[in-house]
Amino acid sequence: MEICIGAIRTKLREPRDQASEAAIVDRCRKQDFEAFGVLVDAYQNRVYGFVRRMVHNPDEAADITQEVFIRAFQNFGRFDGRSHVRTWLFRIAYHLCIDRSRKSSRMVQEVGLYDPSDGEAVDVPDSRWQPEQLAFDEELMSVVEKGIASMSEKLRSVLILHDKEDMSYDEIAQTLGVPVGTIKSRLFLARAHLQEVLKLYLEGGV
Amino acid sequence: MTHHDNSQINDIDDRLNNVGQQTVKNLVQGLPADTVSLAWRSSLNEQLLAVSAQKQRKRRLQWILRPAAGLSLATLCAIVFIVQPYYRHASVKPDFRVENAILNDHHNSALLNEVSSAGLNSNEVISDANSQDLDDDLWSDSDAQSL
Repeated sequence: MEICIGAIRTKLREPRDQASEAAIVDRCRKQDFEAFGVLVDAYQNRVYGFVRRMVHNPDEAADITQEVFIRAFQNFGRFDGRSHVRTWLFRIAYHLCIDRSRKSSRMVQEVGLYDPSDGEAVDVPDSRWQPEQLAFDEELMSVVEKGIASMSEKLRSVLILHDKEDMSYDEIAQTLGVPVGTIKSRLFLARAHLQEVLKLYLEGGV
Repeated sequence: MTHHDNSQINDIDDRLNNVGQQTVKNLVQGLPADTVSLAWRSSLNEQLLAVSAQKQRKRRLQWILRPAAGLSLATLCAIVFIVQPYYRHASVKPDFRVENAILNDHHNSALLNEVSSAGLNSNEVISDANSQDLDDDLWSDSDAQSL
């Protein structure tokens, strides 16, 4: 069964090849501001996407993403180049997310008395373009996001890095600092959890 | 790695490739990509510039402080290893002048003792010329007659 969400997947610009990335990394080590800007342009959206799904709050995610790049810029001299820059950036992001969630779990959560979505403008899909399909896709995306949010951080991080960011098992193992076997079993559990959440949609078909 | 481990790995790979798991993978892949705003990017640039300026200041300060620290260390080493042993050596060196003077005095007095017999010390020895004068003064004519 093939389910496809209507959104077109944007391929983000990464440095073209290994050689050009190595040259950029060398310049970044010398604190070249312009070269670091190229890296930021290449990875900012991907890192932000990962962090937003890890911490839920978009504003907090934006702050953490900025911190990721500031730390990377400050510590580029320590980057040994054995792993991919992407792996290194996601590792920083993952650790910052974990730190932030530990801190916030110690703090008392403020709970709003009203639903923030109340009174907000709703995007009405263009009726000329399969409105039912669009509505279904939007709902499905929302359920997938909620399903991801309801997982533990361990499962969520593996699922996003593998299925959303197309990282290999080895890269994820390097990023999270756990064995490949553990990554595989976490990925299996994460997908199984999402399958359970999406049971109604998957059984109904499209 | 045992046969059991290998079969477990194959098992998890097979499970990850089953239809249900792949469906979920496609769904997650299809989630829209997030994008950061231009305001976010410009704020990041400002922060990076601030960090860069701070690093440059730090590097410049280190450029000045490092030779100064090296010079201070070298001076300290020179004091500890070169100047101080010299002073220590000079102050510890014994001065026997007083002892030698005492010893010489004792030696002289022993020699004199041997020459001038017991009971007299060097201060008590009176030259012959003086003793003649003393004898002349002390004897009178009456003394001579009484002999």
